[in-house]
Amino acid sequence: MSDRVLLSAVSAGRRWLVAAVLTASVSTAASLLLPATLGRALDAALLHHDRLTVAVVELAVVLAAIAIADVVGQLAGTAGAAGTTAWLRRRMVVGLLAAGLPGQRRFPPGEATSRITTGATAAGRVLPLVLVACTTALSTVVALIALGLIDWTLPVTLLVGLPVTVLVLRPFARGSTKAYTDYQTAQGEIADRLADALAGLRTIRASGTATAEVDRVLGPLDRLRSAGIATWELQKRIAWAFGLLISVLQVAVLAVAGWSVSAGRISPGDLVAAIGYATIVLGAIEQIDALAELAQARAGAGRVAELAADVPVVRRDGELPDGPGEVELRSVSVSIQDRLVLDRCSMTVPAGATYAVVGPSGAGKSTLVGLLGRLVEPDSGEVLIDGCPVSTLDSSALRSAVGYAFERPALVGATVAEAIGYAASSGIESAALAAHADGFIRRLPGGYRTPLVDVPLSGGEQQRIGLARVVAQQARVLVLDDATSSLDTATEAEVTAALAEVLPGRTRLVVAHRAATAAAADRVVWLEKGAIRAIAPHEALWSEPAYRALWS
Amino acid sequence: MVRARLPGAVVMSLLSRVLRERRRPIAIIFALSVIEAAPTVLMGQFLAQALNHGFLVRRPGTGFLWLGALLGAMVLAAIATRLIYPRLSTVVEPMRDDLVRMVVGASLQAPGHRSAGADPAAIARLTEQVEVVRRLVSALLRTFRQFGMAVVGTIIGVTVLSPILAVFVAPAVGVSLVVFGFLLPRLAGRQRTVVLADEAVARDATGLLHGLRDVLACQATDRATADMAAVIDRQARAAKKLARVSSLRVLIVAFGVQVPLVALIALGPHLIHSGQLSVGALVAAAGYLTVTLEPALRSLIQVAGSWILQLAVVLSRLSEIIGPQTTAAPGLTAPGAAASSLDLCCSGLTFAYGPHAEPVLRDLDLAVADGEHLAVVGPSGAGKSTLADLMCGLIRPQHGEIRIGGVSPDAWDPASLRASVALIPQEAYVFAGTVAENVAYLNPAADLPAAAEAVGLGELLDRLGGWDAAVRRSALAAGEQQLIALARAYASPARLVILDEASCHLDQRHEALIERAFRDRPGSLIVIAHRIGSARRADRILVLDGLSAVAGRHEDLVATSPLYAKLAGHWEPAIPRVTRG
Repeated sequence: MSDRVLLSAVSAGRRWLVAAVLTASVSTAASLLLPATLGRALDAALLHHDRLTVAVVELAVVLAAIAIADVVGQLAGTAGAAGTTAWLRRRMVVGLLAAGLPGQRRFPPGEATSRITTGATAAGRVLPLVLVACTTALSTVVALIALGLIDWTLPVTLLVGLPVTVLVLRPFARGSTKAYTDYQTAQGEIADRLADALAGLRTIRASGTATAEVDRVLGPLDRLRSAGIATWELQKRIAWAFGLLISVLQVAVLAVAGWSVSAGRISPGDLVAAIGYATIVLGAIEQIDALAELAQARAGAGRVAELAADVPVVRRDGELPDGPGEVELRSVSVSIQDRLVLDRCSMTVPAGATYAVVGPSGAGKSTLVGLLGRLVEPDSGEVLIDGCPVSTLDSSALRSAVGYAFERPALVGATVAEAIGYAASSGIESAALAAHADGFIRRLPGGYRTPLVDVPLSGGEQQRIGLARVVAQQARVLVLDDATSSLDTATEAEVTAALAEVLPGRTRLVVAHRAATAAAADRVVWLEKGAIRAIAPHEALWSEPAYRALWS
Repeated sequence: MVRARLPGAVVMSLLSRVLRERRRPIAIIFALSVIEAAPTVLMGQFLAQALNHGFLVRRPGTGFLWLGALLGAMVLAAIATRLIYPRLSTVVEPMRDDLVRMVVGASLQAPGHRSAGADPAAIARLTEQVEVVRRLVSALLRTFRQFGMAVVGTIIGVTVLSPILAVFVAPAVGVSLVVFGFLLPRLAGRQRTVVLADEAVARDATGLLHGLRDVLACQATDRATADMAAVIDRQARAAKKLARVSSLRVLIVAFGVQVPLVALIALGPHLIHSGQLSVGALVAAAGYLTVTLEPALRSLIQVAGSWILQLAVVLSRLSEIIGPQTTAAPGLTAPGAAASSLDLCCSGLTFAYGPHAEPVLRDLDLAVADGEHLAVVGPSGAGKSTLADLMCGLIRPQHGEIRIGGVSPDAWDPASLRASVALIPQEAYVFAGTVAENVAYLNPAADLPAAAEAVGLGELLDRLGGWDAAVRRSALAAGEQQLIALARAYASPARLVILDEASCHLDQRHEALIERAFRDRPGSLIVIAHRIGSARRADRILVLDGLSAVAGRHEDLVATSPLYAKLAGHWEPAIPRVTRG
């Protein structure tokens, strides 16, 4: 499956693929001809002067072919890889958005980001690396044959020498990788300590303890250094053994070729050709790295393929009839990761009413309100707004039907203004005014055009921008999922009043953690273990000890 | 954010700053590199001798001898390699240590306020960037050094073979290096564009995925997909543009190596005939050009065109954070510990977070007598935390002045100022260590049990397993973190304590207990209130809404300040219900 996705990714840039394969073939063939051509040209220069012009032209043609093929090949390989990467990334984004919140449980944001960034880059390199691997393998075989054609003793020398190389190399290459693990552990500890200290930076500044904190963060530095030095020891053993053995093989080929020259079996030009072919074979040993890289890239491709698989297209073209915003749940059940989160819940919220949703954590409050905007898909049952099933609505119809504000809103968009207008395009400043966000936004360095990445916003500020976003959206049903928890009580009351003023008559579902919020609602939907225990006014429920226990 | 300027001087100064101390091992590495390059220099000469005096004249024994000498040189080179690696580690590892120190120091010690504070995740990524520098410098010291030596060695080698050969080889290599030098700035520019495009993909993907719920809730998947696709395609275009320039490197290498090779062979008979070149030398020169020079020059140019540029990009990023070496400004006078009274006096304070931003505080006057208990109330965003930062001397007002014990915070000796004034912010700082270490953070000689008793830490202590139990920020609830920070403040020697919503995650009864404990403690107490209860307990209340401020007692303010009446009114009814039952 991963290879299939990769194949379609690669064939999306077919032109580059053809160019890369063609140039790789030309380059390989010409590189294999080079030692022989060079040898013939040298012999012509030394012994057969009459053939010199032809031989030199041949040599120039071969060299030019290699250079041109390599230029085009490198361009095609990189451009093809970039195209493949971009194709895979776009597919992954579509796939992740379609998989929605259930998908996020399988692929948390950090994991998915790493697949989009490094995973897709690695997958894009698969084709160029496969080409390298194929041409290297082919070149090695042909070079060995060419050596055999010059003198049979030459390939024998290398074929005996190679296993020896591998045998001698192995104990060195094996060495412990513990140093690398230790290194990463120490590095991670420093990063963690730095993150902790940065979270407490205001305390540290106010306490004047920055110097001591620097020392604390750097505590594992000694261990980091000794692990680092150990990794050098490992590299040293590999490097010197590797270098020496390649040298020994080179000299061995020279000695055997020299012997053949003095025995009159081969010409000096043949000797140069032999050096050339031996270099190709020895170069292949160094390409073992590329094979490891290929394995890595394929693993990356596998991780990417999971996310880039075809997305089933769901047709949604239902239109939302005009209506006041009545919400109805008909025997809705939801399971998340095999756990029943909502069990046959039914309720009707009359248009314009405010219902508070309460219950202990894990009771299914967020799942219940998530059903309206299809953040959660029901396993069975139906969710209707003004009698119209939300499952049939297209995204713009649903956008005008349901709007959300969250406890911790994630602000998407490049600037503050874009974040507020993410679900609408007009009325941004008046929405910010209603949400009591206009004041602090104007105090930001760039006002409404301040890029979000430039300003760390407090929880309360984020909540107010989230509220402004839902005001701008102007949907018929409003879902407030603990959306004012970070505001002080006075601001909360003002925002609530302002919302009522700018969004009059909207149906509201409010997930409440404060008794005052529940008391202010028309009805309270009391959830317990995924089931609706009661729907009644706050005052009516207050007589039940279990209900009062929710607020203690 | 990355500026569009090219690193150049800044990078070089950072690099020289971290490598300056390591001159000796670097010198030894280069001395050993000469031995390592010896086989390259000698190869042509020895091969020519082996051919001319051995194999070509049917005396293979002599040929083998010369080859044996070559092998000897190679063994010496391998030994040199062995000796080089430990020296590399003495250059690279301390360099990394220095960079980590600079990064950690700069991010914890740099002065700054909210608008200058970068996203903590971005700063944490700095440690990864230090690692990239380490990898690239190591790779450069290993590979670039080796190939550089090989190129120089080859040119020396052919010159030793016959000076006439140098006439062919040296100019061509020189020209190709010069051409590459001209290409380098364009390559650097495009490489930088690619790095920035890569970062944009990572940043936007992170933003999108963390905001997935909100994108879905806004029914904006089409918009999100289009935004993301634009960033992804921009990255692909940047990579292709880079490839167009970088593939030209192949031609440059071909020019440097292949042109002299063809010329050498075409003119070979003439050179041999005129006695300027031996047969063996011609063969050896051809071997040099194809076997040694071509791969060395190719690698040199590839490496210079990618690693060095990457290193420059990463170093320029780091140097933006690290900046010039900073030293703490010394206090002008040091009256702190001697000040008999810690009266706090603010006059005409004005503060804004940017030159174009509206001020958060405007023309604020306030006096707090030593021993007084003041509460600060106001709507979110009214500038309460800003006022706290100003009072501690963490930020400076644009206008107006603050005096603590009659002296401006800037004029205090920093150590005695920090010992006299404690600020406990809402986001508590708990570091990985024992409970005792965390509580004794501001006062090693603190009476820990008394502090625990005062703030009600006992229950948490029992749960964690006593004073010597190890704590981690991530393993504690927000209220528990605040409790530890409050115990720390109580145990500190400070005589002016500012609690900036420092107990907002604790329940009201616990908050009341703590505020009473601080009130009974010697010195002044300023509480930035999250709930009305905190205000009612204070001697005096400052009502802040950024542009105006009034101070007074609760009973008076209810009547005189409409804002306070409103705040108090909204606060009051919610409380009894929440605590009931």
